[in-house]
Amino acid sequence: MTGANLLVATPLWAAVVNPSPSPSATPATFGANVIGFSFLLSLLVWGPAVMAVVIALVPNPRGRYERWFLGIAFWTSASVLALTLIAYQQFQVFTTGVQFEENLPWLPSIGVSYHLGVDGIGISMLLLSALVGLCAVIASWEVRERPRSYFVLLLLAEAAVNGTIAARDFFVLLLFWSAVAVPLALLVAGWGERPRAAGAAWRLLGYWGLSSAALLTAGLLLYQAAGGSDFAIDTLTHATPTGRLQVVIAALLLVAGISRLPLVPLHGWARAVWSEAPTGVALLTAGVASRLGGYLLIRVMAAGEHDASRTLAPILSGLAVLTVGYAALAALRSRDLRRLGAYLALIPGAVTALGVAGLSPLSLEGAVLSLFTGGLAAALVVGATAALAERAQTRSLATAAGLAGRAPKLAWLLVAGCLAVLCVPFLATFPAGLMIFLGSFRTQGPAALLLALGLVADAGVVAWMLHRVLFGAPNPDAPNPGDATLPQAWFLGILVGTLLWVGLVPGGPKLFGVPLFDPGLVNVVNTSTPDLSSPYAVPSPSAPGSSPSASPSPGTGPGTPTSPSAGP
Amino acid sequence: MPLILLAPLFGFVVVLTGVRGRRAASNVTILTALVMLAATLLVGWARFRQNTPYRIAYQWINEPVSFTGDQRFQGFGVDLSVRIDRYALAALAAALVIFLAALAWHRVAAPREPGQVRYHVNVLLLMLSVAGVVVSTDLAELFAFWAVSGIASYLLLGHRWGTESSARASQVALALPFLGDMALLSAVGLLYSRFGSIDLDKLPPMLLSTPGVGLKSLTAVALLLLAAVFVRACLWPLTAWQTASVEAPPSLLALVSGVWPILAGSLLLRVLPFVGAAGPQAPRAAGYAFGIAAVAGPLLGLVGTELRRSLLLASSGGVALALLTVVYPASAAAGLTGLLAVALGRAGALMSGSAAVAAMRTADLRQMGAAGRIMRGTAAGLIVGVAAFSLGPAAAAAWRPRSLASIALAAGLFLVALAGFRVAFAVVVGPLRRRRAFEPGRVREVQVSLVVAALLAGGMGLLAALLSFFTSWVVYLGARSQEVPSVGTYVLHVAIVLVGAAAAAAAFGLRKDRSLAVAGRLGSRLGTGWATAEAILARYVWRPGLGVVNGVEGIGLPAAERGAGRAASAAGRIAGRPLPWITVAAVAAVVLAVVVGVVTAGGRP
Repeated sequence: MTGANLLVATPLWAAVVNPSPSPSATPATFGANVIGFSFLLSLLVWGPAVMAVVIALVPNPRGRYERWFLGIAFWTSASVLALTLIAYQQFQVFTTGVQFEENLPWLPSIGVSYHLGVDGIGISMLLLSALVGLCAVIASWEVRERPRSYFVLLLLAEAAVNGTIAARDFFVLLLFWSAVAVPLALLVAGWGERPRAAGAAWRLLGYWGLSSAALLTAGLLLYQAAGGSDFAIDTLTHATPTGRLQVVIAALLLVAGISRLPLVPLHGWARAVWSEAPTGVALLTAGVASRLGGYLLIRVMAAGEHDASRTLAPILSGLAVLTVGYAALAALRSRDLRRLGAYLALIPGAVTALGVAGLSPLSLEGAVLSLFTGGLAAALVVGATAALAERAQTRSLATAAGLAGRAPKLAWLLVAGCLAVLCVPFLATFPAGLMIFLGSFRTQGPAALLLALGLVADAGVVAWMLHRVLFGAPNPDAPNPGDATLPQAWFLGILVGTLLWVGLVPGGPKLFGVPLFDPGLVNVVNTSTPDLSSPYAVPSPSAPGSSPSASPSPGTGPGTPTSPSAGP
Repeated sequence: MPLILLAPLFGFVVVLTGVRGRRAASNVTILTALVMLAATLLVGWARFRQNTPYRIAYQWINEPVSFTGDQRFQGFGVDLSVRIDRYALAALAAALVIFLAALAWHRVAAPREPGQVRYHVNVLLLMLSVAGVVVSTDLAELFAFWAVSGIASYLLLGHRWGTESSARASQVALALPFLGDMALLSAVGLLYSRFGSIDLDKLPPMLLSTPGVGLKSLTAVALLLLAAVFVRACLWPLTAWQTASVEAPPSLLALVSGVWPILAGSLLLRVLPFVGAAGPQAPRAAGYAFGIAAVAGPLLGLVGTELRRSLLLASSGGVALALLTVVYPASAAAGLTGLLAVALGRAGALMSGSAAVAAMRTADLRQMGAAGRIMRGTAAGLIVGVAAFSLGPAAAAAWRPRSLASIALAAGLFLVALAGFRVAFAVVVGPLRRRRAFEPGRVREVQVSLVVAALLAGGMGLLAALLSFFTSWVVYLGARSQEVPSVGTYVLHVAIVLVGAAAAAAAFGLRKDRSLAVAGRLGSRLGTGWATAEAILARYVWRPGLGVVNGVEGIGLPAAERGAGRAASAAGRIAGRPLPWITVAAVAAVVLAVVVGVVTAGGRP
């Protein structure tokens, strides 16, 4: 073992022997204390990477064990999801602070530590990553070309995404942030649809490289402003750079975020990758890797650079509005089914951006929630269009027509995806979108109104697409389409099921007021958003002698319910 | 959770997950509607003498979002709150009658319609969301059910998969009303941003007493809410989302076009305090908009000869008139009753008309006739339905205070009656001519069940219209003192309707062929004009917009990416060459110094 590796490994080993204390206890709920060790997050980050190495090393004489690679990847993702679900269920809601923390010095001379931890935002993003990661593996069920390399890269990408989410040290975050691009670009280039796959991979590298460069510069400036001693995100976000410097830092973070989210005009990679990549890779990029852009905007920009965020908020909201309208027109122009889905998948990111730009407690909470829900919606649209194009054996809108009668399952799944990006009720994007709209009207009213109009245009495009592809007259010259295969039904079904579950019970299911197994995603994200958004609290009315009409408690429930409060 | 909401939810889940056959799905759906109707009537009977509404609420989302700042914005909650008052009961009962009639009609008339389970699933979804809209008092909850009603309507109107016309029509049915839905969402957002509440019971006292909220905000809220009502009520000029769907299954067209006026009226009733608080501008704007729609809709219904489109446009005038009456609190109760009459009458007329279309194998009024002789039940259903949606607004209009709007009211009443009875007389009287592959002698009356279903809806509409003439009912519904109009006012408004019917009889009963020929020619001219307008819109709006996107996607973005790529490869080539590094370092240092100097604050003396 080299000295550097020993430096890394020893503190980790020490952590196993001396676990860090868990957060203060609240009454145990179902499934509590199933996870009792202190390196849960490291397991979620490095577990897929280790299994990627295992796949790389598994002997495969004469290609006899190629399906093993799929099996290993599947069980790895399933285990990650199971662990994440338990961690999610054990997550202490209605408390603040970081949980499942791991903090080990790494490069103390420059203030870098191997610091992992999650708050409400982080655990919801990890859950999203685990869900979409599993769906990506299921969507890759039919990959027969070089499966070893494929699943190695897929697991490495998943590991890098988890690392970005769990990182509490900016240096570590930057490493993982940049590392995500490499396996994804290789996957797109190696397994994407030729001849455009290579171009898509280069675009991904180019745009994500730009975002990494911007993030690096912003990080170094923040580090300098914070005293140059510590890369901890908490330290950097509490730094107080001067006005102009703050604006520059925020602008760089904005560039980094919107090129990953993406928003127009830095969306060039998205339309290429989501339409040319294999389905599993497209799911991973649309569902979770792209959400990291919004995650960065919330975690670092909004949390740290308050004044600059207020200055740049109109630009961000303007870009969000532009993206929603542009997506509609670009989708109308498209003649390729997968590309059309790629444009529609831009909409959830724009809604998230509006939430961040709203800079009110409610809109920021909605933005955090929309990272999860928007990721699912984008993944569903991209996955459904990819599956439909595959089963219809054509991507051309001129050829693929009237498919609903012959592929009803896929038709309903695509309808669900399209309705999800429009923030229709009963789906998870609705509570998030509602919070964003209601919270943004105060500070970004015109932008919110224009975004609503943009959604009307998107509804028109969705209606047009569903008419052309699903409900219109079938094309007699087109190849015979088939309905969803079992893996396709599964991965799309998981996404729809999650959207419905969170959409119907965002606060978690309750029986006679008693919470059941799900603490509720809204409750989970709520552990961190009040602190994050406290600088943006709506000021009390300052008119002398005036008293604001106040609701005495959170929520707008009725004063005298005639029956005990119960969940639906 | 009240049975009114639980029953359709349960039925939806059962049909979606467990039912495979047509009959089973139909049985479950009809049973659900009956249970809901029974529950509605039971609640109505139980609360017959009570003036206070029944309330219950469950928390759906309840979160503290901030611990500092204005207390109103420190928490956010959305409740599943239910408020059942007499308005809600009346609206629910009317809606459920329409559902039952449509379901019974479909069961008998369309056993071979494809997608039977899908049909019933979507109907149950609509049933659930309609009940939700009518009883909600939380604006977010109301919006949620409102939007789901819209989605269910879209799925229903586009029910016939694989047919181009149905798919194209459903396209409009999704996109156009979404405008109104976004207006409603924007109104909710604006209300929350100003008052920190979305509870319809808590907001009215706060409207004029909250500091910092002026007339401008209230007017904007009121106008947005009125826009939402206007779009979903399908009033001129936004009627396309229903008139384009005339080839949808008849029961679905009747259902959607019957139910949405009730929902629009319910929403308008709920948000009347906001309209009132906005000063005179909002009610005046509503008056203009509804008044123009009341005249223009039926006028347009006189043009063209497609039966269902004509009925929809004619009755849209009735809807506009009733809503115009609802806007003013003094006449709101009468207006709602009139609206229910219009909705029921419209549904019944559409079902009867569709039966005639199916029997005579044409929807062109010029080729229809003799229903009074060979399809008496259907003819009766059509006349009763038309009478209901013509008379419904008449009584309501009598409660309106006298103003310039009375002229629009009178004109609207006349035109609604004229346009509605035009269809009735065109179908009922005159010869039924032989056509290619059509033998008039083979036309028979439709099955009794279909006649009864249509008559049920139309008859209940006529009953509601007659009920609105009884002041005791109006006062009971409104639960407050209403200014009772005189008998002469009632007679005047009924006389206007009768004059319209007489004019229709003269023009389309006695001189049927000539009048319909004129209407047909005007209709084809209108169609040509509409196609020209679409072409102009495409040329001057869509194509430039798409051109911009073409420029960006096809030229701008690839050029920028190519440029960035070339710059990167050029930088790589430069880095590979031996360079005067001292010069490069000096230049880089100067650039860095300038950048640092610009971005960092200077020292102060």
